Amino acid sequence: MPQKRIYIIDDDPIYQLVTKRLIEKTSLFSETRAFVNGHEALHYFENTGDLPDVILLDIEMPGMDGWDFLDELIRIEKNCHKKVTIYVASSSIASEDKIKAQNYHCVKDFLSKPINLEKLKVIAEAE
Amino acid sequence: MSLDSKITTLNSWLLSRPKTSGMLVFIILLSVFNLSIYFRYQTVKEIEQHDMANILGVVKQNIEQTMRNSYVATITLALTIDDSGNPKNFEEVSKSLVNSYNSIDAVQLVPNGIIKYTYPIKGNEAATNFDILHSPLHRKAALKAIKTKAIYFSGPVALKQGGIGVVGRLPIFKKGKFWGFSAVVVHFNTFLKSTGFSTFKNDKYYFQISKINPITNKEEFFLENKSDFSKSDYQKVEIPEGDWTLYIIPKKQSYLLAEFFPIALISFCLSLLCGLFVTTLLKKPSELQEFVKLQTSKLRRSEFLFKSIFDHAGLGISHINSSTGTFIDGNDKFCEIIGYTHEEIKELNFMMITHPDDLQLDLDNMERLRKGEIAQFSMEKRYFRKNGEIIWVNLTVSPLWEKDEKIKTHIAIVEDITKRRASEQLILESQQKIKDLIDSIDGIVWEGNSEEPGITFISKKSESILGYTPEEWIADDYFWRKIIHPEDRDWVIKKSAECAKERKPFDSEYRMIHKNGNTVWVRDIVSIYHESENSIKFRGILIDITKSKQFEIDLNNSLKLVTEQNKRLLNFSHIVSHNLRSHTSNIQSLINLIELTEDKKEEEELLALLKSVSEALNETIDNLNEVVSIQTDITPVIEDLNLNKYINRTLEVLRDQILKNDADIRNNVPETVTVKFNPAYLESVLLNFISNSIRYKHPDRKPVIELNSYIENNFQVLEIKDNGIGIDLKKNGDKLFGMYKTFTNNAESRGIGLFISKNQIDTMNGKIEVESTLNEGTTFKIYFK
Repeated sequence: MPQKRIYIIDDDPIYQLVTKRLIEKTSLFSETRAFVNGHEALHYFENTGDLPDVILLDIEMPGMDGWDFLDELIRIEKNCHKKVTIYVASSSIASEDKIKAQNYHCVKDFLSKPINLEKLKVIAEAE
Repeated sequence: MSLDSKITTLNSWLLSRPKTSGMLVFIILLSVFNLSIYFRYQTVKEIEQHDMANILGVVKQNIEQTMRNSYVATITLALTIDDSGNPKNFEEVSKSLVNSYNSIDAVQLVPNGIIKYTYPIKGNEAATNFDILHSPLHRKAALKAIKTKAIYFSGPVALKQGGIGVVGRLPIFKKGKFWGFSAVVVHFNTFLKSTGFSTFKNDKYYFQISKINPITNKEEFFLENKSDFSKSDYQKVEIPEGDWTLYIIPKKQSYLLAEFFPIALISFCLSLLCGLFVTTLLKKPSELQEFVKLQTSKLRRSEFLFKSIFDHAGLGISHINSSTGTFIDGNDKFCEIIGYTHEEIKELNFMMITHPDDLQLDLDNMERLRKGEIAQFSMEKRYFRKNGEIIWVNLTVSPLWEKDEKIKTHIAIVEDITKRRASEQLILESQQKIKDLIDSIDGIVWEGNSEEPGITFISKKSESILGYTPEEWIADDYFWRKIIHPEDRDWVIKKSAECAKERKPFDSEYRMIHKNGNTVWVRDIVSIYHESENSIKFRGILIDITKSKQFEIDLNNSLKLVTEQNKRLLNFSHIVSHNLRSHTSNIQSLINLIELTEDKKEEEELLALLKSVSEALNETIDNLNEVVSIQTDITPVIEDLNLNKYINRTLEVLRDQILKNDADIRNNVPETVTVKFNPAYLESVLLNFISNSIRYKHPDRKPVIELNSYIENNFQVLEIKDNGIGIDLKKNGDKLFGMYKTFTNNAESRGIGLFISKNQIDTMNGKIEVESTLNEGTTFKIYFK
């Protein structure tokens, strides 16, 4: 099975850096890319048509937050004919966010930060 | 005397029976007339009979004269016969005879019954040698003449020589021996002429001659008009020489009737007329008499009735002199009512026993009655009884004079209404009690008769609860609608109309506007009462629930506040958890990485990152402390602060930023405006909003920030208006004042400023409102209590 490509969308630079470094160290994914918010990510997807297999998505972000991004992504997905698996990664423990995330068809799971090796392994091995 | 009385009785009997009397008169008159007509008829009849007898006598004499002449002629002729039986000078004698007697047409000598000599011979030739004794027609008559030895007339009979005639034959005896006949022939016409019938010929009578036919032995009539007259009043005379019977017969029996019929008719009509006249004549008095009798009985009855009424009426009735006011008479009841005897009241006048308070009205009424302005009057007034007791009466006064007549007396009808007045008083008192009771109810009680707007009653409480008098309510059918609070009016009217239509009770709470403009909360409870099948009543009570409503509102507000605070607290806890976790998770991840790495340089790099994360964590905890301090500071100091002064101080602090961004700050806040606020909070709030306005400027234009202040709904408002990038309120409105919510990528935005400002303003019982359009600008309104 070929390795998946994983992109991170999060406004926290430290989280971005640390997570990216961790992914690189584990060599579980073929490619890693990070965006500070939804706008930036969408802008990239629309321009390049390059959609990853997995996205780690934060909810609380300035500019375009996670939910807005999800709505937009559904639109782009249709155009690119590609399915992206989304993992919502948040430090929030609010249950309404979890419930809301379940309503999105493309969201595979709701993960609590931090993202550690075990979680990455599950993501990498998931269908 | 008895006769007189009998006549009088008869008179009145007749007078009272006009028809019978009329009939009687008719019968009597008719009888009298008939009788006189009868007598007259008899007289006329007698005269007629007499007349007839006379005429008959004359006729008989005439006939007898003819017969005498004939006799003389036959004798004379007989004398011409000589002894030998031969006639001498027959011609001469005969001629002289026929010439001298007009009534004789011819003479004959008939020896032995055979006609031998005839004069004149002319016209009589056929008779010569006719044997009469052998003629059946003549034989009997001839034999009778021989037998009687006297002249005998036969005929009228058909003559041998033609025609009809009468033949008189005298038997001649010569020496005792029958010789023959001497005969005269009289033609029937001649005979008739000699009778003188023609002289009596008139309308009244006619004649008839009859003879027994010798052959048939039947009576044979010879004259015209052979109609049967046996029933008529005829007269007759016998003429033996010819065995004739002579009749005189009245021509028409009916002519008398015809003569008397008109008289009879007239008398009948006259009688009838008289009868009718009498009838009508008597009818009038009879009718009058009936009428008088009827009226008399009526009068008697009504007199009796009035007497009964007067004496036994349940009402007091008095007869009063209208000029002096003195009592002329009064009935038992009247005496009983006022407590005086019949004799005593005659010494009184009505003014003496009338209560002074009612007297003037009574006198005024009497005056109007006397002037004819009113036909009668009624009033309730008080009398003094003899024992001094005051009684209430209902007085009705009717004058006993006609219009334009002299003022005489009047009738006063008096009803004792003391008890009624007392019960009326009781009713009034109980009504008053009910009214007082209703008015004492701590709510506005009302009543309406239909679904349509408008009420029939409302209690006085409306004045104290809503400031409007019952009169104001009643006067306007739409009054209730008008004073409902405008915000509640539509649904209240709709609901109440629906309930009324469906006959359902109504129970709602809504606001009304007091006359003084205040809002009054009421609970309106409406019930429906069916008085009868078709009559329906709506009754309701409006209870003032302003106080409890205020409590409710306050309670709701408190609840809202608590809920809000709870929400905020939860939000805060989420924030705390989120922020702390984001840092701790970073720390965890970094430590994880540090453990994994073997590169010294990378380790140092990661440690530096760890340090920055710990600093960020520290800052977050500081921020949280600040927020907690606001939320836990239950009673922060509140002072009157000059708003303008604080604005200027803030602008001073932000001088570098203003200069750096070339911001145009227009402070229009008047210098006198003060707000009640905590000084530190005010500094923080102003700094936050003004710095935000500069921070989120639009990249394409120079920032312009305008500060205004005014009063709105008892709040002092500070308006901060910028021309910055604006906020998408539709998207972010609910998060605007949340902690760590930032909507831009501005490096300086920390997502804490507005959150803290809102907390500070909330704590000071103020509020914030925001209006914004993306790319145009934002206006914040801060409401200071």
